[in-house]
Amino acid sequence: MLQLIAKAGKAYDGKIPGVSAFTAALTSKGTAHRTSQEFAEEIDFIGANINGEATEDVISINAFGLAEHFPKILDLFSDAVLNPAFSKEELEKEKKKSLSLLKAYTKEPDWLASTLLEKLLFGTHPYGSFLDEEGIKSIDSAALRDFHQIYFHPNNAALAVVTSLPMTTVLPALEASFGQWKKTDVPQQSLPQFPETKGISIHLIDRLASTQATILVGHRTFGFADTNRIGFSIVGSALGGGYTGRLPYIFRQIHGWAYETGASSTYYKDAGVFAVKTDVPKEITAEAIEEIYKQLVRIKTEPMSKAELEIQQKFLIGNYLFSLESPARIASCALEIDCYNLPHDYYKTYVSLLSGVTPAIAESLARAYIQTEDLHIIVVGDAKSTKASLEKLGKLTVYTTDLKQVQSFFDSREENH
Amino acid sequence: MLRLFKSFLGIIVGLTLLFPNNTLGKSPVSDETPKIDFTEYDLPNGLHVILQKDSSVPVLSAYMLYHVGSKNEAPNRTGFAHFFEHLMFAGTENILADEITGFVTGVGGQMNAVTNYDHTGYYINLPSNELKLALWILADQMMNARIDSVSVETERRIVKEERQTRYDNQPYGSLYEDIVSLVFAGSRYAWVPIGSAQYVDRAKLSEFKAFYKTYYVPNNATLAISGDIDIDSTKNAITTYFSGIPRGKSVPNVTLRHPLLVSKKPKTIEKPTTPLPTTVHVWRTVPFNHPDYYALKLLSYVIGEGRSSRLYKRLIDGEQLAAEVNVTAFGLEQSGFFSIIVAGNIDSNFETLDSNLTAEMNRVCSEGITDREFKKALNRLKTELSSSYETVFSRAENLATYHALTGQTSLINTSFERYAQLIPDDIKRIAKKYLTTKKRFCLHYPPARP
Repeated sequence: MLQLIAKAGKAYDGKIPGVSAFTAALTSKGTAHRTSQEFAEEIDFIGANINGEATEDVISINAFGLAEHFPKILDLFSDAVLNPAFSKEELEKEKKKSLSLLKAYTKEPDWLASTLLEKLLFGTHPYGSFLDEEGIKSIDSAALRDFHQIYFHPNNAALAVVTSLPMTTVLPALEASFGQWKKTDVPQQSLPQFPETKGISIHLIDRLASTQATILVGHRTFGFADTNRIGFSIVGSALGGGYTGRLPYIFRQIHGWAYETGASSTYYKDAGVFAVKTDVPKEITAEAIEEIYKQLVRIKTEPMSKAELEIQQKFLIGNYLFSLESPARIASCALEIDCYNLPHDYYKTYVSLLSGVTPAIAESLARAYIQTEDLHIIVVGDAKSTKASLEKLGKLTVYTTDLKQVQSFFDSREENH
Repeated sequence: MLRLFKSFLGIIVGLTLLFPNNTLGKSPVSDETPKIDFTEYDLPNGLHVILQKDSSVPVLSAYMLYHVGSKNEAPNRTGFAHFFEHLMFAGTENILADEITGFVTGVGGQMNAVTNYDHTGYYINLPSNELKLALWILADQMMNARIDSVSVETERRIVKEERQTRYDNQPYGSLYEDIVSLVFAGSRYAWVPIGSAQYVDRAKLSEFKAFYKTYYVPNNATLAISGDIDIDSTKNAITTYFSGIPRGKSVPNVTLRHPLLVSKKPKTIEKPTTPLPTTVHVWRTVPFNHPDYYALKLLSYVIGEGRSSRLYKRLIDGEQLAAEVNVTAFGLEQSGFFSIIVAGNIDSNFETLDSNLTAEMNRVCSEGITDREFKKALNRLKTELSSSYETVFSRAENLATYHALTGQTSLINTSFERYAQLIPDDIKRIAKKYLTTKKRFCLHYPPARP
């Protein structure tokens, strides 16, 4: 397994939303030495995979295959990283596919909810942008070439290799493939501020096909490298982890409302998102939201007992232990250290840092980082069944499944006063 | 440049020390895949035990498989086996439901279950020093599950919500249900394990108790444990926890009978969640360890795996008719199907999608595949098999499943040989036997009106 990351993710899109995503996707679709079809034929023949994708902070190019094919995999991998062609023809194919995939995503309740949440939390910052039809259509191959030229440099990248091949084989091969890659300065990014969230707002994405209500309640937290991240994971788990977290227990065991309810944290370089998610019968949408809110308040005001904390600590330590079985996860851990400037011994100290959290520390983290005053509540459901009960909870904005606000004559009249 | 190599040098050293016995990545000899060493035996009460030692990471997975699934249900009780699976977590005579989850979570473990057409698996993954906790819970579930009306009514609601969340509320959520109702019509494979809400509503407490007594017995079960274990002390612990459970009555065999297939016109399924014009071509085929299955699996790679596969090249790259193609050779214990799912681009129509697909399948039946395509498929399979058993859970699950459904646990190691013995002509022969237009079923999912 080879994984290269370049600090060239969505955050670097600048004036061209989606340029990082398309740059990543096209690295394996034709190079200076091979057409897209030739590349595909070569990598498929050895039963291996190479693909590129962009996340919020990085582009990652990943290769996976059997050790016996290492020289060939490395040849194709380095070609994709160093010499992508970004041909107009391949870009047009990718754009056509993307338009269809966008159509598919807008039918998925989870995608709709999380995309809107990030749009609200991050505003004009690139973390909050999503590629819409207009954005897809306006991408051109010159933009991809420029992007690659600006950001794909060894001093702006890191490479992880997970294998049991000996170093005496691997290192010289990497040197031969990447040794000539020249260090080049990379421009600084200047990014807009995140918007402030004021008060509790409710957002309904009107999805006619919905047979349930999908609820997502969230707010911003801190970036990946924040030293509170490890301790806060215990708070998150106590609130919404596994079967024993407060929310899944109440929603499933006590009320029988939902099959899966959980709280999770996602972390990017400059910010994090904490969110609670569930899917419930439409009739109890408002009641479910009130219960979620009640538990957010309660985790701050009714701190965990030692027993409750220890269960979650053990659970998280166990999850970490099991994650070490996966070479992909190990590669990611290594690259996280590089990407987020974590201490080099971060994963060596992870378990002891987790174990060192006390109920008092957990309480102070809950008070500091769980929001109950400034929140976004997102519901994906059919407006006919859910709008009325949601309006009773607070100020409601309604959206189509293209994530465009539904304007009503009366709303806009009110705003003009 | 120095920084680049400096940071990963340390990582490489760390990793090779972490995996001293790692079978993954060992340069395999050309026609082999890494071998999994295991030992197996029966307890006097009929419980089949499989133990696999691997000390790469100090964890283990304990997987208890019961040879009962949705094919053991009556047509007016679909979803019953899956509903029952939920009840197994409602507690036992000795352990409360909250205690089960609390104990497992509290030692850093994970647990869950899955109901399939042929079998139901319950697994507990734990740090390896907690083996006895897993054995205690699995044994008590087998012998002393508390099945009462409170848990039945709670889970009745949950199971229906699960169906909504995972299927009814999702694009293409009905797809597999639609496929099996077509290709397996008239047999007990004709519905999906989640079943139908109307029948979930009718399931009675007395029926659950009878089901437990019939199927949840040691002579109908396989216990596989993989991970950082000591074989001898594990055998002793298994004897301690399981040998006192009495053997149950012999479990009735279910032999499915499939009516003769009749080729029909495409069936149109309108759902408000469908985003793109999607066509499905599907054929009934063979069980997963049938001699003909192996050729079908390789063929699925040739036509649908990777960007150099036939359908990707023609439909996505070439004609740009489709956004995604999925080809699956699906095998169950007593039958199987071969499916091609094509999600067309927004402006594609069914006639064009179908005629292109038909043309490609006709080409396979008349001309077969090339030597290079055959080798490519074999290489893809080798990569998949070599990386399928990375985790203790995947090993335990596969060991148990191979034993329960085929009686040959060793297939986990030898299945690759069955593929490697084929030749390209076998692929053509099998395609002509099973995948002709006459034997094909077709489903159309038109995009939902905006």
